[in-house]
Amino acid sequence: MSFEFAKVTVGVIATLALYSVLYRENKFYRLVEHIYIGLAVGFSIYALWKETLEANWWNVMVGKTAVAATATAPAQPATPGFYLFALLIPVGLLGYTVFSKRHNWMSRIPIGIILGFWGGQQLQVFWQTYGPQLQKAMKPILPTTTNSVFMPSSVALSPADTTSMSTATGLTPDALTALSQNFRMSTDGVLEFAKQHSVSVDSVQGAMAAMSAKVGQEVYMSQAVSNIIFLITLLSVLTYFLFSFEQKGKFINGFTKLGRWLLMVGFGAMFGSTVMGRFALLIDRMYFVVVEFLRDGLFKGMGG
Amino acid sequence: MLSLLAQFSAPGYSPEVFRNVWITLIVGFICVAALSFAPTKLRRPIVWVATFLAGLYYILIWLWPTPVNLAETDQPLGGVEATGRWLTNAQSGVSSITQTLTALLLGLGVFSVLRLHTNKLMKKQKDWAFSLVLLLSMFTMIAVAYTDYYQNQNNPKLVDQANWGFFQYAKDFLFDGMLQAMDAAMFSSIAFFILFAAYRAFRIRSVESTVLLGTALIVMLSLMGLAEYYLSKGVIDRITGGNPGHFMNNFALAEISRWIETNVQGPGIMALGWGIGIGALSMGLRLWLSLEKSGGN
Amino acid sequence: MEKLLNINRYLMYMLLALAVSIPFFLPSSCTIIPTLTKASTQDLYINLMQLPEGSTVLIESDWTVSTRGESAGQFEAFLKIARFRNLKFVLLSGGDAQAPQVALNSIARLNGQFKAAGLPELKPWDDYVALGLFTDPASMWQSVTTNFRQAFASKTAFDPAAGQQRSVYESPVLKNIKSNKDLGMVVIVTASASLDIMVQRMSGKGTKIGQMVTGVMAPESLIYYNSGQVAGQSGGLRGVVEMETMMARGVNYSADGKEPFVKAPQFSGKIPPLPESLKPLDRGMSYFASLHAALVLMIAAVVLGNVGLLMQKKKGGSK
Repeated sequence: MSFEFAKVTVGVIATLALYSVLYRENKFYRLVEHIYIGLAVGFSIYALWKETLEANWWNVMVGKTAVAATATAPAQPATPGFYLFALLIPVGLLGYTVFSKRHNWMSRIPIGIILGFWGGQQLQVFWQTYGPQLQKAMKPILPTTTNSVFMPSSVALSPADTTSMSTATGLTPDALTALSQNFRMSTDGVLEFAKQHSVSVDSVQGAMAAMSAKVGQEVYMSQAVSNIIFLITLLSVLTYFLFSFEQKGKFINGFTKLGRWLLMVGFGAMFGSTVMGRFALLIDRMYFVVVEFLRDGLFKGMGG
Repeated sequence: MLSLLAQFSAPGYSPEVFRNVWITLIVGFICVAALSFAPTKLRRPIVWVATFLAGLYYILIWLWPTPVNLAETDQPLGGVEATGRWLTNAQSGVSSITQTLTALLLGLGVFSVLRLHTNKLMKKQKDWAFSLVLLLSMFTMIAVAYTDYYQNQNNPKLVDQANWGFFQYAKDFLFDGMLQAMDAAMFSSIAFFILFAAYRAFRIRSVESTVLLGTALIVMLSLMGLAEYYLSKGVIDRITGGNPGHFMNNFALAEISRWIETNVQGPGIMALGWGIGIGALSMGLRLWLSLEKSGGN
Repeated sequence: MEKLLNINRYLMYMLLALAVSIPFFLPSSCTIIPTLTKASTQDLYINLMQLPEGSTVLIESDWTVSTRGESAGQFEAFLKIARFRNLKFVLLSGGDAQAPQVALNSIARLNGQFKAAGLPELKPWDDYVALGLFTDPASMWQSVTTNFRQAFASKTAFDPAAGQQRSVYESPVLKNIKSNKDLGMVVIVTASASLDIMVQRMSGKGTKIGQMVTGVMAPESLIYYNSGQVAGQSGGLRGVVEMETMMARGVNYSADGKEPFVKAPQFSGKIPPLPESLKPLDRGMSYFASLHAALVLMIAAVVLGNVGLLMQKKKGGSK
């Protein structure tokens, strides 16, 4: 049995043991559960030293000696040891006084320092997080044109537009006028248009992109309605969670009720996404058992 | 920060630095011992000062003008620029301090597990054998992982599996073979519960639950690439004749789910986030200024 | 009707396990599913593929095998792009003690795949540096934006050519990076709220951010994309499949002059597919058919439950 297969086999046994709780709690499950917690805690202790404390505390505290240059590497200068970092040990260990009835107030000192650092960042964090969101939430709710409900496939080009697009894409004004009648074409349509007007596909696509951009500057009815729904959702959900005043009156009650319904739409979408996430984890585990262990391990080994 | 501490430094790895580390530790523990005798009246101010000074650093680094184009060798002009430079330079030291303190505080959870199971084992309480297994696996992992690490430090060739020895194989077996497999199995078992819970509880009983169910079904359908592709490309293309400008394209499954995502799900979650953000901001300020009633009592 | 309302839970568990397992035995031609790509995933992919060769990306890997079904595919997609575009990367973690080791194992696994395909492996020191775990990622990100050359000053990595540990700033990955603005991009692969900590401190600071998140986190993190705080997002297993689809088929690209499979109207250029040797359709697509089966079962279970309820109500009403 190869090392890799032994690893997979133990993993499968552990997986089945942990899945056995789906039937009912049993000793086999509890045994593997305790091994799991033990290994996880053990690894955390190791990782805290290796990944964090060694570099961020020990190396800063004791420094490093100089390393002479070699044929392949330049000299490494010595770094001094900042021995005051040793104070972090007694300060950090104060946290463990939480288990003492008499001295547990002292545990609040290191926790206070960490919370202080966190609290001090919140002002900056708040604006950086919600400022851009607030700005993006300010969407136009009035249409700028009533020519079309949805974004149209045609555009009226001014002489100036035609000139600039013609210069940029190399299409003749006639070709541009023809294209402006229906600039949202399938690839086959683009190929045919390019062939008909003896121009390159890239220049047709360039002109189509320019026309899309021109049309996209307007706010159409459909976009305005979507933006109104966006704004209503935002405000009604905010109102639903506003507890600073008593929610009285028909309008406010109706509005918060609407907020609850719209929130349910959001939660429904979140549920769908969460289901995908959870199923993906199960699929991976079943892949591990069925493909990595059975198909590529056990049966392949037997076949070989 | 580290330049400020320069007068409290010694040559790296020298006997002097180790001597000073010991002295600092002893002084630190004496201070802790002295602190334990602090009168009740002083306790709250002590915690307040520690919390306030920690928070003040990040307030200052946010509000204080940052020197522009000031090279390391340049002399700062005046106190504002000097303070700005000091705050900027202190960041990595502050980061080291918080990484260290957080790591030490994370050890609290480990200590708690250790304490619980050692007690259980010593007093031979119910299921003490499981506690023994837990402690054994924990110490085995620690011993194996540290030995592997130190062997790796001294012999970089061990990175290559061809040169592995016992401890490298043992660590890989414990970490990748056991711990990771168990971790994955534990989390994946939720899928079974979700399926059964959805079957039992996802019922049309009110307007809210109907809306929730309807949206969830649309989103689940749209997550299936095949369903989305054929309902968008197949059905809609047949109606529109493949014309991308046709207005029926707006009713493709992909478009509907994106519309829900952008115009209903998005602002709903955004509104929740703003509420949480305001809560976090006020909590942050209360903690920084020690306005929380329980702090230090 | 009673039967519809009381299906045995063990039967459902069994059905779910079977539903997700059976697609693994289907031939690969049946499990390659045509998938439309969202603008958010397109933007992430386009941004990564548009980075100049040799750029340095800072990647925060905060996932463990508990979310391998989603996060491994995301991380591997990034590694393949990094290999193809010769991107260098700084690897760090800010959420889970196991995450740094899991990321290194993932790199080792993919290096095996590259080696077998005759491609160069991703080499530590030259192609990437691993900085380990930061127990307080908030202060680490503050340092990255405030004073980049000091943020990782205590970190060293082994330089194989020199045969010694050296400061990570001397590595080819970081030696030309003076501030966070010199980074090509910052990418986070996460299964936790470490995303918020990063975005809150890095957005608007002159570095593009890409997020690769789990399905559970995708809806809430999409807000960051919609408000322009991050440049792109890949969400959950579906996001992995979308990334793989673009890697396999390109963007706005068609070899035979037909309609491109992936059309990104927001992008005027063309991106050809990745070579077959990089195995663009990989983990995500292998799992996608199973996801279909599981979701069909879920929808069926919900519909059955509701049909049972309606029938019961009808029966109650007629009495």
